[in-house]
Amino acid sequence: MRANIEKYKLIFLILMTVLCAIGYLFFAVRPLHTDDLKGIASSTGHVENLILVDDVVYSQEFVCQVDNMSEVSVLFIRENQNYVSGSVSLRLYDEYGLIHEQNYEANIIPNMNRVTNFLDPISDSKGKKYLVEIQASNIGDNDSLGIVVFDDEEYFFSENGERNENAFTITYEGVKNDVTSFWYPTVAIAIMIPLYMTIDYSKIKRKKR
Amino acid sequence: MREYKKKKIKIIALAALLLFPFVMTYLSTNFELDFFHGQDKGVHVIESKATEKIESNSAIIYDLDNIYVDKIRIVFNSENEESYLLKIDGYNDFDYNDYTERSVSSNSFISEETINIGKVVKRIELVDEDGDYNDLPELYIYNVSDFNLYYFFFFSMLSISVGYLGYNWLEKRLKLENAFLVVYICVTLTMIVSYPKIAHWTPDSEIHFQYAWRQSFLKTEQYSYSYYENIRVPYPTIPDTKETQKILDMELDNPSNTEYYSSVYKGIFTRYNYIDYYPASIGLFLGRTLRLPFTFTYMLGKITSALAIGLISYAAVKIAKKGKALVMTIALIPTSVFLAAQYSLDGLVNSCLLLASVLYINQMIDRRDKVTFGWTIAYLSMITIACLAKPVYAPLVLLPVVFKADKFVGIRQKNIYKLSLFFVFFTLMFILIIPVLNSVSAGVSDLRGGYTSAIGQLASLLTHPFYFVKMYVWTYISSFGDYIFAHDAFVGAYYQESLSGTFYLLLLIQYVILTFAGWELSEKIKNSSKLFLGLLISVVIMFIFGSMHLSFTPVGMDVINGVQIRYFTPLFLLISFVFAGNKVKLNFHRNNMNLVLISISTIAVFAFSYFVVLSTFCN
Repeated sequence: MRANIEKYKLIFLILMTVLCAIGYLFFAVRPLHTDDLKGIASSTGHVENLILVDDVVYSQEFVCQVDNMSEVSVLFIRENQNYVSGSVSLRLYDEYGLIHEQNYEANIIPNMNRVTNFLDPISDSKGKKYLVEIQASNIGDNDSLGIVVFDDEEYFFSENGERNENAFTITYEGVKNDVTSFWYPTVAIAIMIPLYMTIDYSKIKRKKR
Repeated sequence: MREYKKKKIKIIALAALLLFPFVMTYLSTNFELDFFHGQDKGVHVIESKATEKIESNSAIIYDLDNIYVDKIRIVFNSENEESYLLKIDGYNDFDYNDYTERSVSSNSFISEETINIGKVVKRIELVDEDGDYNDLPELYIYNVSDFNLYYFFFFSMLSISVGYLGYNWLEKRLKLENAFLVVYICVTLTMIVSYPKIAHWTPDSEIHFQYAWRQSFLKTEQYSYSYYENIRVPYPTIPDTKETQKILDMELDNPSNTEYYSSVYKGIFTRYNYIDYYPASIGLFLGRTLRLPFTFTYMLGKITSALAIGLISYAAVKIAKKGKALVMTIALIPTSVFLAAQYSLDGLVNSCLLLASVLYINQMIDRRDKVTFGWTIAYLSMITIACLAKPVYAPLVLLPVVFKADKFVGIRQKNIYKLSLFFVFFTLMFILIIPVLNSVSAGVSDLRGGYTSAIGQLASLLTHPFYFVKMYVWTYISSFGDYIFAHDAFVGAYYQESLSGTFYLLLLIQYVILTFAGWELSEKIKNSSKLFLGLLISVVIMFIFGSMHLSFTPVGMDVINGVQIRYFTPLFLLISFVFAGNKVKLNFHRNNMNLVLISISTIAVFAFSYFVVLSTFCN
């Protein structure tokens, strides 16, 4: 009876290992084999002294440096102004016109957060010109969104170490897997090694005889 | 005859316990107003009572005829959010002059607020902080004696706890694990119910609530005005009375505010650092599925999270072979229970590491125990769950390295087992490294700390190695007094009032006594094993300081910022085990000793709930 338990433990562990190995291949190995999917958070663009006020449109042009562009994101820090009414629109144009639009309520954007527009991956985006527009509307008379960015240290902190507020950067990325995703199968496999060592293999062999 | 007497005692005790919540609720809330200030009862407009109203540049003054003011109700007229300062001049209970200041802010979400005063007032000055004195609020004296459900709930839960402990003690079958679970559930429920349904009064609670909320959706997150109101920081209103809480709750539950008006795609993939939010997310998911009001959903998230934490702690107390009372004492430390009743990861980390510590100690004190399949799964999964939130505890995964060969199937398997623990350790440490690697591109690590930079900090360390070592040694030495066994580690609530030092001392004494006399070890633990344990604890402490030094301390500062006392609570049991001995023994009857020990913890944790939560928010 005891031997059976050891055998079932072993079968269970082998099944789990196979599952983890598949997970590992799925999460970790696949993107490494695809050069264009390495996920470069490519160049950033700045608009200096930007204060998002009512209905003024800010735009930023960029040339995409990766294929399979799948997201365009804007980083926000809402400092000192924790409660702001109004909404923010993010629009993305290519040379033929609008390809994506997303509206956010201003308060939806938690402090220090990246607002991301997910796109259907654009397979031949490399080298093409795109335009991002940001527009805020229905903001109170005395309010601004006070959006700042922390993506670029040199820009974010001026020489005397003070923060350069009221700016945003735009980043865009190719399809890639989250850097954390292959951590799951890795840690699962790591935990399985000591588990294999708790099985009494001699009992399994004896049963076979 | 004896049976009859026992039965009589039980009936009298039951009647007393049933009556207790009513009597105590009345004494705590309405007694003073009814018996000593009955003539001032009612709701009065303050302006009509004013004998003289002087408008000056600095303030508006309302003279009152030394009237007792239990609460002041403020109805705001301004549409914008404005701040006012109320200067209240009056007399205390002994008729001596008593002056207090209290700032109030109008809030776009609720139109009125009731604040707690509780004294005889001579005059009130109202200062408009922007100085324009337009659209001033209306003030009312609010002296109404009504039934306070929050207090009643608190005293009912206390009654249930006392009743359970007393009954089981009389029957001579008081078990620590069951008593722990009853007291824990009762006290966390009081904390969850009495706490305002605004995630603001614990550090970063609004961030934890956001993550829990996000994880409670499968693919697309949805947001309502109530949600945004909940995570708004700083919150302009301090809900210190049941009236303000009621108005806030009504607005949060208002169907027009709970309607979802925006959604964000998130995908089904969950990052590792969000997994620990699932216990709370399940509650939020349930609440939404059952169409419960927003405030109930908010509380249900806390309840499922607290329940998960409670069950893990219960398992720890139950399976502990030695030092059960100590495990119970640590699981019921008011600070930990308070954090378990909040949107926070600390409660889960504390309970998981408590269970992992108990699993390790069980192996250390019992030679016959083997390192089995189940033990390994339980031990490693508990540490992994804790490390998802706070990877600094990863070194604890190496504790089984000291286990002797007879615990394993064979020598070779023992060696591979121990070696593989190092592999687990490094994969867990990887969580700590990822954010640092990410911050290389992001530039800064944690903006709450100021101008922080992990790479900048590392560069600074390499150029000043001597001062780096000096700073760490000093920090380590001072940490035992400043952090590990400090007042707030036991009875602190962060950014809020803490409980008095007496309760801290009571718990500390209980901890110290149980450390030296509560383990009742049948055989001595080898000094080398204890030394290794002490070493690993030191490494964890250094990791805690190191991680905060890299991510939270501005480059160039000669102290380490951002280290909080609660990070050290999970180490309490292991620190105690380092000093465990079997020379001193407590010679009491088990049933009586259990009652004394659990009573001290119960009194401390209920007192904490009363003074820090109930009387702060529910007057």
